[in-house]
Amino acid sequence: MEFGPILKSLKRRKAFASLIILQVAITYTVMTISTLQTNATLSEWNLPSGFDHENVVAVSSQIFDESVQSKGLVQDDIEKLSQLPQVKSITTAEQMPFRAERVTELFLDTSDKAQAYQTNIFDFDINGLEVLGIKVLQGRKFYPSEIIAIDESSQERPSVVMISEQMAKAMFEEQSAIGRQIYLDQSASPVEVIGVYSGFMNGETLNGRGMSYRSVIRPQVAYINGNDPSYLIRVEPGLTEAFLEQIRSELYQAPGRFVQRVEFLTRTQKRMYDGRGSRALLMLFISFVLLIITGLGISGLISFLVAQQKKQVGTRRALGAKKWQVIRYYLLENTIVTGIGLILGVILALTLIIILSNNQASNFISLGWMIAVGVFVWLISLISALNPAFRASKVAPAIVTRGA
Amino acid sequence: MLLYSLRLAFKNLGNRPGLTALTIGAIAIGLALLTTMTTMSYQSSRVPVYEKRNQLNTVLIDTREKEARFADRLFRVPYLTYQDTMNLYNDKAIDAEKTYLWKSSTFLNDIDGKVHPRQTRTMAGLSNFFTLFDVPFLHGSGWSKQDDESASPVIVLSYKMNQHFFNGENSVGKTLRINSTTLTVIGVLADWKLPARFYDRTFSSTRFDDVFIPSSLAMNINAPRFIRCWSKDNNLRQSYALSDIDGLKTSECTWMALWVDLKDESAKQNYEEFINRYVNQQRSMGRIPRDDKPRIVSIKQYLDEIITNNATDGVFQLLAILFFLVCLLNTVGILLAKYMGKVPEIALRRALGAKKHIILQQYLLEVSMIALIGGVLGLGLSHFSLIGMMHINIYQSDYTVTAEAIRHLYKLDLVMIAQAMGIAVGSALSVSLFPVWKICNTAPAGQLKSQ
Repeated sequence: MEFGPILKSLKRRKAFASLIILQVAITYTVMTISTLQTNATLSEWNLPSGFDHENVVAVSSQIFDESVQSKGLVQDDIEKLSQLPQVKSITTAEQMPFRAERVTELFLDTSDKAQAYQTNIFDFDINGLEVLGIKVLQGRKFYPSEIIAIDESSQERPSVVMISEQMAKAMFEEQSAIGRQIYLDQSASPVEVIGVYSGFMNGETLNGRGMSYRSVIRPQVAYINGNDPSYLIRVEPGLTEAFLEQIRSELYQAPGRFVQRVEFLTRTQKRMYDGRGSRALLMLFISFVLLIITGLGISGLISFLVAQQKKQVGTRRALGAKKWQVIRYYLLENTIVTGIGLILGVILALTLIIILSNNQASNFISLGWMIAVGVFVWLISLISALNPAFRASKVAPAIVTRGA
Repeated sequence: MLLYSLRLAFKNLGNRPGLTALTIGAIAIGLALLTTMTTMSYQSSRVPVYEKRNQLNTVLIDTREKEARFADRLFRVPYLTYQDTMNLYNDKAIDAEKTYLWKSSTFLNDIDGKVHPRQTRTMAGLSNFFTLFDVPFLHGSGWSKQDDESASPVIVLSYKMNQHFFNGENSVGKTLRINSTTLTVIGVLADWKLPARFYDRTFSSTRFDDVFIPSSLAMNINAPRFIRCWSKDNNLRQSYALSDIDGLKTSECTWMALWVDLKDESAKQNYEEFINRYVNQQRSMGRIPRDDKPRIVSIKQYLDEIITNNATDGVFQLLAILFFLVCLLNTVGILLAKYMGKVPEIALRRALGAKKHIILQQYLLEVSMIALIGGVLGLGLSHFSLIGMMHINIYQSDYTVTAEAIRHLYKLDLVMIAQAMGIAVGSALSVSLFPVWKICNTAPAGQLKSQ
């Protein structure tokens, strides 16, 4: 192959070569940094919810008037809302899917050395499972008598809970969880696991720790003044924002309360992911625009080169070079230049990543991605060189016979 | 002659219009991204209360437990405890105006329930808050020192809240309720264009306070407090935050910000020494277990430290600069290739007596024209991409911030426009100077021979 001539030709056109090399190097750097960052940002992103969340409405409100009694208000709300024809089922809810924040540690015994299992506890009433529409995999559902209403003075606490499949696996591995005693609080009495359900997305806090589906459902309704009445409602499919407005105005019938949020769980889910999602996608978009610009630039540069080298190409053709050999020449030349650019790019990208990750204390270098980006940039560069290379191959050998 | 060069340069642009468009497009896109990023960081680094940026100082004392990790960022340094705030506020040894404040979240509602209530970010502070921080009023005024002492039931509304509850009418003298306490509106703020909510140390640039009430009143009505507690107090945090205000006052929980007006450097030094003495004296009484030095930080210093530590913005900035560099190289590469093809023509002109500097002038003019056109296009693009970024921000916040509240963070102003044009023309010229110079320097004879 024509390595010798290519290198000689490049040596004569240092300016051209170094412009392409620099462009490729920087483009590679930008693409690598944004791909790696995106990769880190989007881990655990847009995971399946684990249940049919589209037709569930989440309601949270807050009582600000101290004279309002929580119990009466909650019971009125439930009654009023379940009378709406669109409502299929409603439950009180302490913590909601996609936005559970409070992390509780579970234990299997009360010793100091007991291992802690992090989870989110969801307090629902008897309709909880129905509202979410999740399946019971082992054991049974709650009996109505097991739902405990607590207020400031009551001492009774639920004695049974259900846990998610993933929680059961974390705590008991292959053994059955049914009938096991667990501690939601090491200083209180243990509760019995009566059922295992298929897990649902809990919230960003545990999702970020790779424990997206770990949860406990506790059959508890709190009528504590100062608590914020919140509900999950399973509604008929196909409802619109107008229905949310209807719920809002129903709730505002009772004075002394602020209705903070009435939304479909799809929106809660969106909120959970979109902060980092849109940032990462923006970065990728920017690097693609950059890649297109680089590609066009390379294409432009090479077509000039070809135009200038018409005579040489003609001579080669006249001396017997085949069309494909001419194409090969330009593609090879492009590959050499791009290769040098990529090597420089790797050095530059690594340096910057090391500087940046020192600041951020998060090391996100991934060899696989770096190679993938390299191959991708090389391919784009090759594609940009194709058109001018073809044009070069069409140069008629007869051109040599003409004067300048 | 300049006109002639200009005409030639212009004619040259029309030669291979596709490539000219590519060079202009590359500069425009590169510049648009760069300008978008610089505008965003420039707008978000605007200093609040600019005239007093150096003289308004907040006091930072790290009162956490000994084992806590060193507070390497300002937001990790806790607020002040009630004890420290009061000791320092009431101290008469140093003659400087001081004010303290704390954050709360309350529910604002009208008595007859005609307007839906609002959850409101609430500032609880002193009467001199408004004068010290140059807060502009639309109607009425702040409360008086007397109101501070007697915990008068008065409230100052933000412009936005006055719109919501009173349709923007002058509401001074009317009443509203915070939770279940009735208060009289004493003032309504004008649209306060604060670049960042610096005074409670959050430096939020998108969310601003809705209502302002006297600290003494807020304590009386038990407005909830955002507090952080350490070791032994941690179990009581909930009750300190929501109910037990007297317990909170004697605890080591932190929740207040103190600002001191220090007119000059020597006053600041004096105050620093004073704070050191104070902290040492408290340590001798068995308080403040850590031995981190207390700090006096001005608004300006605070903002500077936040900006230097913002890593994510750093990545974006860096990418934008690299991006622009690629676009620039792209443009210059194509121009260079174009000019290489012109060498014989240049040689001919030189041989016919054209001066070197005239030819240089013509090519530099062409580069400037491309940069100028690219710059103008780029500014147009960045206007739109800034609007795009604003909408992304609104989307990210799940529509809890409004375009009005954050528009100022995405505004191109004259400084940014001038800077962008300067960067476009300056960088294009400086990068292409050398190659153009080399081309103009080719000896005419060698080129003419081969013709």
